Amino acid sequence: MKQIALYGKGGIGKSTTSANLSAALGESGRSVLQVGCDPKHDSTRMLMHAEPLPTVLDQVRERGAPNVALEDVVRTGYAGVRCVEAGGPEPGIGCAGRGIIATFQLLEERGALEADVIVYDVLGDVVCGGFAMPMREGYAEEVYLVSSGELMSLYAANNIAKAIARLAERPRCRCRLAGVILNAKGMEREEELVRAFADAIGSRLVAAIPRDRVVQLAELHRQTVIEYAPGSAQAAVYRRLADDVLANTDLSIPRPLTQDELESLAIEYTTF
Amino acid sequence: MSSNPSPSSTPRSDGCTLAGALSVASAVADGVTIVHGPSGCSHHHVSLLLTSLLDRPGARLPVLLSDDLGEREVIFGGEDALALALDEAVARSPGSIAVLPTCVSEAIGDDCAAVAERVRSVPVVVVPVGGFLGGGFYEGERAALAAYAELSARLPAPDTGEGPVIALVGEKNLEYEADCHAAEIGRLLGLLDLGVGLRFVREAPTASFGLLPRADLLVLREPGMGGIADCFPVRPRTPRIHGFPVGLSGTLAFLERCGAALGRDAAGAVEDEAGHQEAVLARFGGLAGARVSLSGAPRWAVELADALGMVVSPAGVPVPVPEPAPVGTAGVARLLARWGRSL
Repeated sequence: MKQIALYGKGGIGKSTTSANLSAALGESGRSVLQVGCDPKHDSTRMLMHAEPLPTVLDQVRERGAPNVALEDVVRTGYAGVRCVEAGGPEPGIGCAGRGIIATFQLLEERGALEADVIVYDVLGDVVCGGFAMPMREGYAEEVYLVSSGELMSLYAANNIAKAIARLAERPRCRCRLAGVILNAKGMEREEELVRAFADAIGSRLVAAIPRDRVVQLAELHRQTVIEYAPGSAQAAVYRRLADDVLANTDLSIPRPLTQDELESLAIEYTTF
Repeated sequence: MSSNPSPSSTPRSDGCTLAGALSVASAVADGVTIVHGPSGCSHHHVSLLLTSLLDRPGARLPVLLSDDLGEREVIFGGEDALALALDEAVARSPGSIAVLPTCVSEAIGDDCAAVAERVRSVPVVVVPVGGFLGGGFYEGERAALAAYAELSARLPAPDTGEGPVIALVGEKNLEYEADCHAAEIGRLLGLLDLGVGLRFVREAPTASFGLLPRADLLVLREPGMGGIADCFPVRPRTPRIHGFPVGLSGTLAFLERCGAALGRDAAGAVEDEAGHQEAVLARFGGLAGARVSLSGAPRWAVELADALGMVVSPAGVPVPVPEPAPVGTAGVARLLARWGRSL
């Protein structure tokens, strides 16, 4: 079983990348579970053709944790991918991080965390211990940082690298950095910059996903690119990513950059 | 030899901010206190309260509610649970309700003040305590006093007739001899034809807090409370006495200060009290000549030993000097009884 997590700045395309990755893995005949770990619970939306998926925490709130069964919260989407959304509290109240911990405990107790590949799609940044839980407790053994070439995106990726480096010091923590995925915004020298960033933190650029209108079209049709445009170049990119993820054994403990180093790197690859 | 400490030496002012705030809120005679947190937070502190109540047979049992926050409330927020607890509290028709947040509710950011504002029929005070935010028992105690002081500005002043209003501020409600101390202050004020108008906050009904803004004299339990009194909604330059009277000369000085603060000649009261002190010392005349050790003891204790003709020496018998110190001449008498048992 391979357990991977995609982390990165909010809005950078983690859910799109995760869903297409899961779809490509599912198409290849593997059993796949995708767990959305974001209170806005839209990680699996394209896999589920926008069918509302009861979130784990909504079910916990309505029924109480002991009364929540797996069939209440797990649905099968495109290519047989099993989909779960953690959900969270209403904005501005409660503790979403604790919700992630409770979700994982519930899923584990009910034996849900079994598949050839489990893909965790985690909220934009490691904002608290709750969102580090997938890494900390051995669920996500391989972490992919999703970033564009924008400084704030790299900043968030670097922060997550810090969290991985810190957690990796713990003897029982198996979490490692598996690579950086560029989800391009179309900036000049963007791939060079993100590749340089990956090298600088002691990792590598695993995939460079170009910006393509087909992604928007697929989303408008409530589908992954893999399903909506299976013959497209973009779908091929996602399939290559799936192959690379499966084959990837190049795991590392990252060396996060200082703020100055990060900014210097960004300046070096910026065209003025 | 028994290793059990005497009740007056048993520390009860350790613990977190919640314990301190609870010691004040639970002393509002017609109040209900809601501990906004896991039930365990309440249990620990209620145990302490009940233990202290064992010293006061027949004492009123405070009404304490817990809204019993669990993981569900941590994830989704505990404001609904607090609202339910407030409904239950209101149904008891209290004079006021105190909401005491705990570490958990502070960590998840529940807006207790906003929930409390929805209650219109009963005054609600929210005391900002969360142990992890720093401080300890005393900070919690002071935060509760400040919250009730703020409430006092919104209450009408009860009619107490003529005469100055003297408020005792910050009595140590878990202190073994708290009521003895207040009674002694009352006796001393009686020598000046004065009385205690408000006990802020000990077994006082909420409506009486309306007296605080019109107090003529604040008698603070201890000097360190000056800072908290600075935020009281009292008239400018309301005189304060920083600490209950301690020791022989300290008690006489207290009378002089009270007289000066309220424009009364205290000479007669001081003379009467000095005579009373002589009588007390005479009762314990058998202690004269005893060698006692008072290493590190405060000045009032040494003064007391000197007044009795005791010999203070490092080689003497150690005698107890409790902290906080016993109040007034009555406290001196109780202490001398303890010294007598030690020798």
